[in-house]
Amino acid sequence: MAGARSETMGFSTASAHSATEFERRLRETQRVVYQIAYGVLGNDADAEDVSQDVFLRAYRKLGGLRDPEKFRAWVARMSLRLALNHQRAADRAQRRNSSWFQNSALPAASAETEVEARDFHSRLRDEIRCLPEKLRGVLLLSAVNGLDTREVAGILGIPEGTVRSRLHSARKQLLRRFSPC
Amino acid sequence: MLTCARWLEELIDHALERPASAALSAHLATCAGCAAALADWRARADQLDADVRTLVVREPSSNLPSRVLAGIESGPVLFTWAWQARTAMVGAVLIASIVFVTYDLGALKNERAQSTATASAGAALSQWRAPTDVLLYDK
Repeated sequence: MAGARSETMGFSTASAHSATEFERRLRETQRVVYQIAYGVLGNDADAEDVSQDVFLRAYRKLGGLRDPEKFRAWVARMSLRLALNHQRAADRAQRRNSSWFQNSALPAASAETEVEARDFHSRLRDEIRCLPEKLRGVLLLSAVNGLDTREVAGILGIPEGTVRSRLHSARKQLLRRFSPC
Repeated sequence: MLTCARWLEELIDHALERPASAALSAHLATCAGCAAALADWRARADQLDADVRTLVVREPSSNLPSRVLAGIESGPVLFTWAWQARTAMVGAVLIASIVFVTYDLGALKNERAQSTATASAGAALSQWRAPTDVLLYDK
């Protein structure tokens, strides 16, 4: 495998080291990549497929990544883009994803509380999906633990001020939609 | 809780951590309703932020890295859905082009055949004589 990988590795000239390096970065960034995909798609199976696709693409295009330090932002951006594409395709096919609730991470509670929480989260997800894509991307990336404004700006290739402004608009729209007045 | 309508937008902006203008600050110092509304909007915003975070708090399966590495091992992924979609689209365009060209050529051929037939029919018609013409002109 090291031999097969050596031609695309941009991290190092030594192929064995490169293979280990890619694997290390894959393990380091898998959570961010997965959480972004899950945030957009809302179900494990699709998020897993998108994450796998992200890393396979990243591996194939690794030679084009000049700065290895930008690997995390690079795969995070790919994850957002592929997840949004995936969602658009699903929307076009009018495939309603009902697995959002399956294996939910919601806290265990009485059946009634759980149903209410699921309803609320379902509505929240729908409202987020109704946001313009630019606002949605910023909102979801900002919700991923460990991504600060600077990193979100780096991922999206926009100024930090724009991230703050879009995040404000997204939060305000959501707040208005979930408020009685 | 009574909020002064003219301050509502700015109040929400301030609840979402945007600095308050001097005018809003002065108003909040004197209006108990708006001060209470601000606290309420802040609490709602905090709750909503927490709810949004729960939508992405998720761990990938433990075998994601091994799946990726196995995918790399098995060589370049040629038959992804994107590749298939692209291939299908190119195929469709190609087939449509062939059908169009074939139809167009067929139509052209028919048109030529028709015009040739019309021309020869016209020529034949100009040579045609009615049987009675012999009686009228051949005398």
